[in-house]
Amino acid sequence: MRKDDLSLDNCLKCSDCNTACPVVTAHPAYPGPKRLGPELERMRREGIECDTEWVEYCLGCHRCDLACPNEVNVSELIARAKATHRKPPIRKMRDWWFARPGLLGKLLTIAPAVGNFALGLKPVRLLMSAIMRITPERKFPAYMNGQMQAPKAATGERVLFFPGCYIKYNEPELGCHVIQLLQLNGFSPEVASTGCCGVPSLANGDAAEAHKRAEANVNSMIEAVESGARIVTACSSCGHMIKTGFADVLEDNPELAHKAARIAAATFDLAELLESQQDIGKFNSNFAPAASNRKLAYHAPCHQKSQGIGRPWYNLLRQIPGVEIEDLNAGCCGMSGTYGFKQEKYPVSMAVGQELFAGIRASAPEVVVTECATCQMQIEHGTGVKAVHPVDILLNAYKTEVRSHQPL
Amino acid sequence: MRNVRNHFDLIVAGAGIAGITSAAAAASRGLKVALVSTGPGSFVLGAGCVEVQNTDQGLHLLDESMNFFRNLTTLAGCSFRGGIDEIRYVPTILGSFQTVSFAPFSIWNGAPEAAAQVAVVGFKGLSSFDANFVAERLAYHAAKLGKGSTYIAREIELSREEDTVAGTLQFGNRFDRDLSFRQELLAALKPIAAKASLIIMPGIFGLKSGQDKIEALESELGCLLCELPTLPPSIPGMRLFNRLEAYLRCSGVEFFTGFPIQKLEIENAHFTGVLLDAPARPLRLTADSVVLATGPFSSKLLGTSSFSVNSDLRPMESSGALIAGNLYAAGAILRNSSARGGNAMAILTGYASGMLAAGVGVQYAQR
Amino acid sequence: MEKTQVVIIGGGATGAGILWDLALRGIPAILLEQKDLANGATGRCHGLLHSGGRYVVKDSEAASECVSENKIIKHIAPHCVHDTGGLFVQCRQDDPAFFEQWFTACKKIGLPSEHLTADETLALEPNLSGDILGAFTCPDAHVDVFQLTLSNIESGVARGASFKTYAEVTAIDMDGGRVKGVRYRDTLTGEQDYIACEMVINAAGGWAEKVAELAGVEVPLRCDKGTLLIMNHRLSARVINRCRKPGDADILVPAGPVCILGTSSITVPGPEGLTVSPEEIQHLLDLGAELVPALAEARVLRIFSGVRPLYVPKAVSGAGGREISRGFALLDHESLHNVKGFVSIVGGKLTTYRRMAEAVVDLVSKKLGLDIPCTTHEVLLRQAHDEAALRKAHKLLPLPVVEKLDKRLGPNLAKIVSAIEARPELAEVVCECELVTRAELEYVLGTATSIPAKTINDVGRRTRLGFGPCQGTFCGYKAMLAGFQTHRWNAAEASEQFENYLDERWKGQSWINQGKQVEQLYLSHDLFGVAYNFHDQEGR
Repeated sequence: MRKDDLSLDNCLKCSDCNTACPVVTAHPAYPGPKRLGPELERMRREGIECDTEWVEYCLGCHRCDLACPNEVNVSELIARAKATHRKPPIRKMRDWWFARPGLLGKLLTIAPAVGNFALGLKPVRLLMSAIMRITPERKFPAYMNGQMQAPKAATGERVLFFPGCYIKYNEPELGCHVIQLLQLNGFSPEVASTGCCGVPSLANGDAAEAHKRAEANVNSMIEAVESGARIVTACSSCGHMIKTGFADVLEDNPELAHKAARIAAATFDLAELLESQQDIGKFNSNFAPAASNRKLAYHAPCHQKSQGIGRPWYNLLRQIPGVEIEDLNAGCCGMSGTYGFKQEKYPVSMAVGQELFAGIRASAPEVVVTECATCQMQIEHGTGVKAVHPVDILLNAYKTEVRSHQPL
Repeated sequence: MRNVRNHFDLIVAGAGIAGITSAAAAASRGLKVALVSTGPGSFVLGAGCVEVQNTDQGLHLLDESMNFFRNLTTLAGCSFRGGIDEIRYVPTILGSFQTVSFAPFSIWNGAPEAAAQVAVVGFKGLSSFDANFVAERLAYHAAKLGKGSTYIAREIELSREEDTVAGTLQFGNRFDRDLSFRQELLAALKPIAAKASLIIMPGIFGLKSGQDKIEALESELGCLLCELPTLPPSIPGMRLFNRLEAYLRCSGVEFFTGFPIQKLEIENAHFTGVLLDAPARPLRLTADSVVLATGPFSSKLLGTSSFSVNSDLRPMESSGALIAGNLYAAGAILRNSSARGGNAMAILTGYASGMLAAGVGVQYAQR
Repeated sequence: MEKTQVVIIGGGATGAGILWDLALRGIPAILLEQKDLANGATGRCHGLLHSGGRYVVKDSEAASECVSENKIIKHIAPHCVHDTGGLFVQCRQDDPAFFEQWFTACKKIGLPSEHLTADETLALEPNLSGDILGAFTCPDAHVDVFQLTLSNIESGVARGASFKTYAEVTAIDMDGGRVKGVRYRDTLTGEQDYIACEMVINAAGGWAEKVAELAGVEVPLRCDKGTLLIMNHRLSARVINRCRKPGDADILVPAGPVCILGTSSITVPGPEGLTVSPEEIQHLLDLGAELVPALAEARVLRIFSGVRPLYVPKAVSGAGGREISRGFALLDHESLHNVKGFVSIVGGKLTTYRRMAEAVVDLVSKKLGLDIPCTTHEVLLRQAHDEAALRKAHKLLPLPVVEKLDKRLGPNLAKIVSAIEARPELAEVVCECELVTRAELEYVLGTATSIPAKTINDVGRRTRLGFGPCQGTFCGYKAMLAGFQTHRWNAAEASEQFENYLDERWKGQSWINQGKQVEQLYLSHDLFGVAYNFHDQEGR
């Protein structure tokens, strides 16, 4: 018996969560968040064995939480079930690696050219499919070595940039762009020496690893926060985790949990931070005049919606001259990080994304803009339309002289 | 410094029927509206049917507000039928009839006067609906009402993969996404439609589809369709909600979904903004006025367990002073109606509050 | 008209236990119950299988009975028992001298108990108040009162006995001071009938006084009301008792997915028309929160009252409800009142039902001139489960559903399995709160079971349908449809059944005036209004 919160009691069985769940919508056999969350949790507290493979199919998108009229912690209850779920050996081994993208990243950036080449070979992918049940249908993102330089600026507010695994190991240049953007907007950014935020660990049911990640990251960032610096993320999943997940996984350690709460209170999504600069007149809006009109479509990642910050990227990009941007609001992309790479989950992942793919086709944009790397992968995979991070759009919109003369 | 980006002309709190109507009314007058909500209110329970007979307040606005709402549903592709003087009997899953003045067209069709030969159709494997039961009871109740319709029960089987749940939610989702499902449905209903002028079936016509899909089905079948909301989630109800929400979004209403209101900022009887309970820090939205349409258990937002409203739908302290001059209340938070009369009150007060916030001189109650 | 040797009046645990005992001894018997099985005190108690700890200081005889019966019930009916273990928690506010007394008394009667420190206790039960001093362990357990009663009946029927529910006894037929037969009325159909018999056993619990009047004898009872609160989910793994002189709200019993807090002790005039006041409820919650602070905020699902039928022979009629011995009384009306063929068994508690049954059947068989020993302490109430069926069930249904079905049905699981194999749609979970499948629903409503449900509430007692957070709001309708589809009710009857069911479910929630259940009720009310067109019924 564990000492538990009572949010379970809030469930009035209305099924709002089931109507919002993208997996229920796409996969008629899925029991739904109402069952996997509060209903089975009640049974688990009874001591009944409730383990089911279905908990693996939860995307962790948090749409159930946002749909619930009664503040039931639906996705957290399912996450707890994931943590005690027993997997067959192959999946266990595969998901062990998926729970550690930081480790994977470090290994694959030792000799990235070799790694990328191998991961692109069909026989290798078929082998991975047979042995590890990793779907051969998808391209792996390329791994790259790169340093993100952040020269100490004399002026500008100190801000700590949490890069996350994708930027660190797959697109360090994006990290450089983030730094540039921050410098252009009155900040003096530092790259945090942190590891994986732990979202993939939680998603893969590895609570112990998530705990380790949270602890390490909290200890690494607390000094900056205590000295008044804010933390900024460019990946919405990292942002969501830092804002809500650290304190949750560290609840067994009150001191760490307290630090995690202070860190959360100081953490901002990049667009959220830029919007707050705009509030005090410090947002750099020196945009070049429009050469031509561009039609863009914005897809808000699920972990962005769950942060409750409005639509800051959409709001910012709208201000760029010549940009016509549509907020797609067309559901979850279905990728959910490592989820879409799993062979047995691939069909569900693609079924979930259908609504978004259709929305993109109907919108017919030049590019789709979204701040989540795996959303980008899924969109390109499902529609063939290019997907880019809003940082790049914003940065490229500035006048050339603005970009090259950054404040030091 | 004023938070311009998250500043609105009006914040409507609550996305039930009252809140949606309020936001729509204000938006129709050009206001920049933010709709803040957790959950879709009672849309998940019923289908939005409206019964005006029990309404005893705001009657002079009834026609105007119901017209507005009807218009809204048509624009959103889920139109209602009816009139304030109409009394129409629509079926329930208990096989009884309830009187309504307005209902979504797909339910309006189900009245006994609509047709003489009625087929009640169930789906094999759907445990929340039994055509035999409903048909028998409808026949009984129709006879009691003096209507001569005959009701026969039929069952169709729709293909399903093994292990899939046969629920209205699952069928509803497939209706939205899967053309072959709709074609299969059509084919299964055709022989039944040949011998009936109305088919009554559990509501599965999608959670997002427009009424054109239902009308297309009707036209291909050559007979009317009536969908019954079964146990929650009510598919017709959720469809109504989703369509209205989508329409409002297109009209420029900005939605903030899933974050409860932590606090109403009121100073010197003037409302300035709301704090939403978001991760890491509350999200602050400011507005020139606010409509509280947050349902029956939300009086505590006003710091009291009960309150009354003046003729402008503005809540008052027990002394009679306004809690805030720019704060209105609408819908079930007013708790002065039964469950069904509730929708009429919700639309009335929703419309009135939206218009009042827009500075349009409607008076809700004549006192 | 029927004929048998023994008629038992009362279908609680005692009556059911008597039926089983008679059946095992080969004595033909019919049991008559005015409502459904376990409608009286049996169905309205904690479901606590006492270790004896509650009585050990004041009533060592009752305690000793509990010690031995506790072991016996766990042996004969393991499928009804969840051996949670129990704690007697030492609260800071309570009398330390009592703790000593308690522990010593346990040793004296052989009640196994160990002492735990506060830290050890809180490690086991983190929801207990941080203020406690420690606790004593004891072999308390939870017994499913419905399954226990049903099991006794089912096993009795398998050995030739029979029973009728919704059968109200209207007259006891006598001839020259000797019982000849029993007249009864079917309360669902209104039909009357007659059973000729030699002996009548009055096991009617709170109604024993009324029944005794039919035989022209007096059985003075004090009806002592106890109110219990059902909480939405388990707050403890073990039975939690407060180590002090028995008082209000000092027991919290984990019972399936819920836990039950109680109780109170208020004298009432009779076993029906029980009401609960808001003060009573608050009182129970406040006291309970001293043990488990979460109780102050946890969701109350349902509130009900039951009556302890306490036998009050003239000598002790002054004492309060708790001081009267919880031992039972066997009344031989032949020697007491010169009425032959009529005996009453009163008082006692759930834990000692079997012993009560044994005592009565010993007496009755002697009167019938038979010398057959009792074997109910040895014979298992039910065979172990069917392994083959269990394996198949695992392939057809998710884990928690199988576990619950296995516990409830045992060897009858095979019937469910073959039903699902023939019609896969029966695997659907109809009551989502309690994970009841359509197959089980049709089973209890149909003819494959010897203890069929006659109303939707009966279904609930057999399967826990409607016992969860929604209290039947969603599953009640489906249960009605199942009754219609299995031809138990026609459409009109089914509608009526449903309305009655909602009324019944409402009764236990009407007392709740705060917390999440109020919101649930509002949702239900709203739903009924739009989906069923119920909006005029009072109180809803």
